[in-house]
Amino acid sequence: MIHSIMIVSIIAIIAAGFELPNQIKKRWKKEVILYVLFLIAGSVLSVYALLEIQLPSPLMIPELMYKPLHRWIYQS
Amino acid sequence: MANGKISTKQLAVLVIYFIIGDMLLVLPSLIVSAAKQDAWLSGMLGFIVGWPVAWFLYKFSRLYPKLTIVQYSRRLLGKWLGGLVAIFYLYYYLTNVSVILREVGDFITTQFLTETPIMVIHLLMVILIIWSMKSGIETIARTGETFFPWNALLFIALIILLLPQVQMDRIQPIMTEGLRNINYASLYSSTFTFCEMNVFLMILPQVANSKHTERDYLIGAFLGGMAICSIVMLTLVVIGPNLIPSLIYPTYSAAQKINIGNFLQRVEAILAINWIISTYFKIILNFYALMLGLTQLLKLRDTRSMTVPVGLIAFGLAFAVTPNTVHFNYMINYYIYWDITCAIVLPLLLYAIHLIRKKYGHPNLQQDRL
Repeated sequence: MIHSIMIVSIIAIIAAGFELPNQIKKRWKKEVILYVLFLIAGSVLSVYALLEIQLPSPLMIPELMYKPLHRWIYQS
Repeated sequence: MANGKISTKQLAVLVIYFIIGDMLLVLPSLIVSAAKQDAWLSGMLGFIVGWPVAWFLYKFSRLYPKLTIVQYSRRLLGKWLGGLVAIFYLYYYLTNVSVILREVGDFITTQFLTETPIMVIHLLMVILIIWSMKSGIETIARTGETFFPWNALLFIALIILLLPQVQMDRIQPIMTEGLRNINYASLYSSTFTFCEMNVFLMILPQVANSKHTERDYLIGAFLGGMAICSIVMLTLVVIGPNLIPSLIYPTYSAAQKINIGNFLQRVEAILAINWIISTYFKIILNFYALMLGLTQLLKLRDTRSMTVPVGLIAFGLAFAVTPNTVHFNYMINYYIYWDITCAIVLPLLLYAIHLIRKKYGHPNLQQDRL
């Protein structure tokens, strides 16, 4: 567990170290904030993937949206 | 905003790659399990229905030739409702990226590298995607142009080498499965190939203006559809309708049957190379659409700045997207409706709103055309 977290955070820190200073220098405030937020979200998801813990699938939303339609088409 | 222009010829190549995409291996199994020996009819019907969809998407994107769907949905529907539509599309692209990544991972871990963890394959693919995204759409299009002759050669070689294995009696009796099953199976072959082309609503504004754009785009769609039709037909007559539904990659099994004079055997790696290249293009075009849409939605100053974080998210979701193949095959039914919503329903709604606003709205809207 600790290994996965370390690997992902090292990758994330390296990526941020390469790309963020350039953006901070240009004073792109919104870009920097969004970059960090997305990086944290991506790191958390990647840690879950490396630990092979099954999160709710992103296909859940289309399932919820289209289940009634699918049932209706199959019944008729 | 736009980091490059692609020519119409490159667009046609990208369209062909996108239509063949991951369907080269996956489609025959889906379509045959629904329509049995009439799958080739469904393939053709899907092509006949799907090609006009590609044409419609092109015509729709020409309403505002300089704007992507994220931009004109916000222009037509206002900031919040349009933003919702844009987020819907971005979620669709992100899910597409992760689903196709997962397909690559599944294929490689079950057929080639059986001892390798699936995450390693995903990581390799994500690194490749981030690298190409950083290089820009122009580089991607040129890569497509470079690979295309080889891909076409290998594809035609595959078809010719498989001809001795063909047994035409495998598609008999014709039309016994009923029109309903044939129609349902044709939904697979039209949505997963042509309706997913709504990604090009994001990419068409990057194409350099030319009077041949429409023709080349439609020729690309035609060739891609023909390739899909022929692969369905070929798999059906080589393996037969009884065995295909139990295979996950029937085209791959068909390529394993190649045997010319007990000398030329086991050349299925040709097919695997072809499949991975075309799948790569499908992933990268989805990813490009996602990044471009994200940039335009959040009004960022650089398309490429967010590549690594979104790549990490795609890497995580590629594992989360489905626990196993059974679950995935079940989810595919809902994917049909999702594709239709994104490619036909939402554009038609936007078009209706465009017409209404053109008639009753204030004249500012007119200036944005071209």
